Amino acid sequence: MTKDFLTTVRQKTIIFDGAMGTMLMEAGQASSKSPLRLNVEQPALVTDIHRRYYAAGADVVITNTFGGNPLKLAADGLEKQMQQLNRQGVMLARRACPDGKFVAGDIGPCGKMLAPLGDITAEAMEHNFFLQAEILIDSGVDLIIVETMYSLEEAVLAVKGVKRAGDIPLLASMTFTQTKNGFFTMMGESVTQCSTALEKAGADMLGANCTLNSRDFIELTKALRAATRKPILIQPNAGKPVTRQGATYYAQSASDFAADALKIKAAGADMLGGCCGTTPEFIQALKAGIAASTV
Amino acid sequence: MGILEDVYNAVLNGRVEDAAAGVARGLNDGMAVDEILKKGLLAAMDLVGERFGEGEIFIPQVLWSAKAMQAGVALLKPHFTESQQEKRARIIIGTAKGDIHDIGKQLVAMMLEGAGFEVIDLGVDVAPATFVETAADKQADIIAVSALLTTTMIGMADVVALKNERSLSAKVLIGGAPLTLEYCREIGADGYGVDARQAVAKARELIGS
Repeated sequence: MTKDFLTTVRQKTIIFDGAMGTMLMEAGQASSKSPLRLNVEQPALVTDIHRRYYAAGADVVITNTFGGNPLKLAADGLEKQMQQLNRQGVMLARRACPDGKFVAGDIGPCGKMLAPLGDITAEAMEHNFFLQAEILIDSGVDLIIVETMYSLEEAVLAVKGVKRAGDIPLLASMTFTQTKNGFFTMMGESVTQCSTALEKAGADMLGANCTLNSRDFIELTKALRAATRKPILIQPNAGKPVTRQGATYYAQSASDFAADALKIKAAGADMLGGCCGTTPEFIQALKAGIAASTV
Repeated sequence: MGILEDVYNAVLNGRVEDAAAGVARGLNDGMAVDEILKKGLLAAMDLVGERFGEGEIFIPQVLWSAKAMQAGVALLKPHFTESQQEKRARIIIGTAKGDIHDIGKQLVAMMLEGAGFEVIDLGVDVAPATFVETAADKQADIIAVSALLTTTMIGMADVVALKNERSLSAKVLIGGAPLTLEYCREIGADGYGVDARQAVAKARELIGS
């Protein structure tokens, strides 16, 4: 069972879901507190979003547990509910998941900096991710995705924490900005530095997500493909957010996104999905584009 | 000459102890406080900001340089004359209500300090009223609000509205990943910085220096 996902990745292009956070905002849940609370307070809403993504053609949905590590939850005073919020998050995705599809347990950054710049030790940070991963694995996810990591050191510690928590397919996805010298994390790590270190730490699959739109991701995918032989997942944003009369929109259309996604696939992506601003409509367009291209 | 260069290079390369040692030597030698501050510490931070804006260096290097600069400023502070204290523009900074993401705000605060501003950091998840009341209390020149989330950037409009209600002269500077110039105009903020360097440039522009 646990190796199922890695076999599937080698056989076909896998479609991941789109955004959760911006979908919750659209549903009027623009709370300033952690979106994980909705796993308990609004379970039907979260499940419905998962269902819509599966219906749109996603093979994998990502649990609503992005900020579910203890350090991050503590910023909202929710660390005591870590177990419940994560378990419930997996349960809602599992409930929506049709036979033959997958649930990925989501782990995002902890929001703290490592010593000596910050005040967290490497051991404490690894343990932070271990604690969340243990619950996600025990709750029955098919794989774990460590994502939107802006610091390679933190991502490596997250990968190590997950590896210690259990034997499960593991994907690690970094977020890069584009500079005149190429793509780098906020901390200054290159694509190759990231892929080398994450592979060494034990990631089975690599990825890049957030920050950039689908057009910029075409070049980034080439760079990541050149750096690793592991399966890779690419999840662009739907362009940049813009506001009209106080409400926030993402600028890109689903069809533009899907057109770029084909180029991203051609550049070497094995798995595709969407990050901030993407919706089931984007995933449907993406799925249709991939299906048409592989006939 | 040698001492100023040492201080400058120590800040540029983020060597905290060397920066402090250089400043101490300068003070010992009777160098002008203003010269050590401007030509040594702040000039180096300017270049750091420029390199960061160009994508040549990244957050860890900027933070180390800022720490080095702060170590130097701490030694100089007891020697500041009253006029030096007074003429520094005062800026209140914090993240928008509901937003707990502080890395970007931290960076901007340090860069502003490096640019010679007196920075009052209110931390994260700051209510609009707190921004405005503190600005009134401290007679701040600028209120700087940071947001990472599209959900929380909306609260920036309240800071502007509340400040106008109180008829404060302080300017409002906004910044953060989801922001645009368009949004800045829409809510009537006085300036917007797409990154830390632009935030500093904009802050300088707003106080007319």
